[in-house]
Amino acid sequence: MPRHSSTAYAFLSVPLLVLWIFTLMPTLGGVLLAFMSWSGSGGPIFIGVDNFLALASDSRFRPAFINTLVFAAITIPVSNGFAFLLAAAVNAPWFRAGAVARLLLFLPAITSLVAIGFAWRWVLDPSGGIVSLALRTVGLPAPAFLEGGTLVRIGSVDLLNWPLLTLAAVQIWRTVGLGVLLYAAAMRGINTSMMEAAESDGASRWRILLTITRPAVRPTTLFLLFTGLVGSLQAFDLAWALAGGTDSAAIDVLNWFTYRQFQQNRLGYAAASGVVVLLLSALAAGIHWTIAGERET
Amino acid sequence: MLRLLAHSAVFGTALLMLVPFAWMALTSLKSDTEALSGSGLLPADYRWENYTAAWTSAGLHRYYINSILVAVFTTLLGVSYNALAGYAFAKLRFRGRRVLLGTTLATMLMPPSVYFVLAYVLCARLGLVDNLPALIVPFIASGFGILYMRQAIRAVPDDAIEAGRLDGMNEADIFWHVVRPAIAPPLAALAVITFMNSWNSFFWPLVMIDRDRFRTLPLALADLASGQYVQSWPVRMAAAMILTAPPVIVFITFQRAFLRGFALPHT
Repeated sequence: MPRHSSTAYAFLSVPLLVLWIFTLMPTLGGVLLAFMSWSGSGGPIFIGVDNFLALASDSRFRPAFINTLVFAAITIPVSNGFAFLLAAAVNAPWFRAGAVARLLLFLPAITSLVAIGFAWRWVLDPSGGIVSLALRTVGLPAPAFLEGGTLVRIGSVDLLNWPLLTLAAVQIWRTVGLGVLLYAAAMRGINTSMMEAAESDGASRWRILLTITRPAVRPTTLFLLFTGLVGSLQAFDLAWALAGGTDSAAIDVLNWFTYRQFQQNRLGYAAASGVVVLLLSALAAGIHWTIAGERET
Repeated sequence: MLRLLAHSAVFGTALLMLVPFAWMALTSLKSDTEALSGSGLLPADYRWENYTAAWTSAGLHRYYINSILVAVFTTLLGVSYNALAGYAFAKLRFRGRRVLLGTTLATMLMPPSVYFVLAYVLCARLGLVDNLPALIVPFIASGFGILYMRQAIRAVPDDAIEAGRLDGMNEADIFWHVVRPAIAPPLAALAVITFMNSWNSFFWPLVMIDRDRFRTLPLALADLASGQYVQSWPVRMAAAMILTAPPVIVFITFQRAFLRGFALPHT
C-alpha cells in the first residue's frame, strides 16, 4: 500500500477532533478534576484524595454504587441467557415466522428510554396499570413495583428492593432483542456438519446446544457481556423515567448521583464519582480482553 | 412437542414486548376517569383529541421541530464523517495510524459520567451550550461509528480500490464511487443507529439545554412524567406515542438493510 498521509489526515481531521474535544480531553481532565475542589467559577483547588474519601462515607453514594453493580449482575446474565435460547429457537430450520419474531423482540431496543420508562410506570400503576388489572382479575394483590421496600438485605446493606428489581426487569425486556439478533446471526455462521454428526450419534438437542452451539458463539457472548457491562454502568435515562425524575436511594444509580453533584456545582466531586465509573469500565475491558485474548492463543 | 414449546416461548416473549406499547396506545385513547378506573382493556370511545391536547397544550409541536433538526443533521454529518474516518483507518497507510486507532478505540470506553462535566465547561467556552448545535456537533463522530465503518470497509476488496487509483481517481472519488456503494447496508445500519441515538438522547440534552425553545422531545416528555403540567395519563401516553413513533417508522422502513448491515461486523 502506498502512503496517503495527507488524504488520511484530511479524512480524519474533523471526526478525530470531535472525539478529542468532546470525549478524550474532558475524560483526561475529569481524572485530574477528581482530585480538586471546583464550583465552576474561580480556580480549582487541589485537595488530593479527599473527594474519594468523601465518596466512601457518602450515605447516598453507597446505594448508587451497589444498585449499579446489582443491576448489572442481574440484567446481563438473564438477558443474554434468555437471548441465547430464543435465538436458538428462532434459528431452527423448522421455526415459522422467525423474521417477524426477531422484529418484535427488537422493538423495545429502538424506542426512547424516557418513553419506555414512562409507559412501564403506567403499565405497573396500582390503579390504572394493566399488570394490576390482570392480577386483580385473578384475585392477587399487586405488589408496589416502584414504591415497595427491600427484598434482599445482607447485614445493613440493601442489595435488592422492588424499584431496583423493576428497573432490572425493564432493562432485560429492552436488551433481550439485541442479544437475539446478534446470537441468531452468529448461529447462522456455525458449520452444521458437526451438529449433524452429533445428531446422528444420538446427542440430544439440549446437549448439542450446550456443547457445540454455546462455544461457537462465544465471541458474541463476550461482546454482549462487555457492552452490557459498559451500558449498565452508564444507566441513567431508564431509572430517571421510572422514578418520574424524583431520586431515591432505592432506584439511584452512579450516573444519576454524578449528575446531581454536577447540578449542585460540586464539579470535582462529580468528577470523582465519574472516575469510579471509568475504573469499573476499565476493569470490565481488562477482564474482557483477558478472556477474549485467551481464546485466540 | 419441542417445536410447539419453542414457538410459544418465542411468540409469548414477543407478545410481552408489545404489552407496554399496546397499553400506551390504548390508554392514549381513553378518558381520564376510564384510564384511572382500570376497568377494561379497550377504550369505551376513542378520544383522538388526547393527541391534539398533547400536541398543542403540552406544546410538543415546538419540541418536535428541534428533535427532527437535531436527529437529521446528526445522522447526515455523523454517517459521513464516521465513514470517511473508517475509510482512512481501513485502507490508507499513514504515520500515527496505530496510535490514532488506539485512542479512537479508547474513547468507546470512556463513560459520560467522567467526561460530561468538563465537556460542558468546554462546550460553554465554544458557545455550544443551550442551542441546537450543542446537541449535534459532539455527535458527528463516535468511536463506535468509526470502528464499525472501518470493519465494513475492510471487507471491500483492495483490487477495486487499486483499480480506481490506476484509473487516476483521487481518494475522495474512490471513497464516493467505489467504497460507498459497496458498504450500503452497513451505512444504512449506522444511519438508523445514529438517528435513534440522537432522537432518543436524554442525558446530554438534560445537561446542555436550559432555554425552553431549544428543548427536545425526551426533555419535554420527562417534564410531563414529573406530572407538574399535565395531570391526564391519556394525554401523557399520547405524548409518549408521539415520541415513540419516528424511530419505529424509521426502523421498520429500513429494517432489511439494517439487519443485513448490523449482523455483519460483530463476530
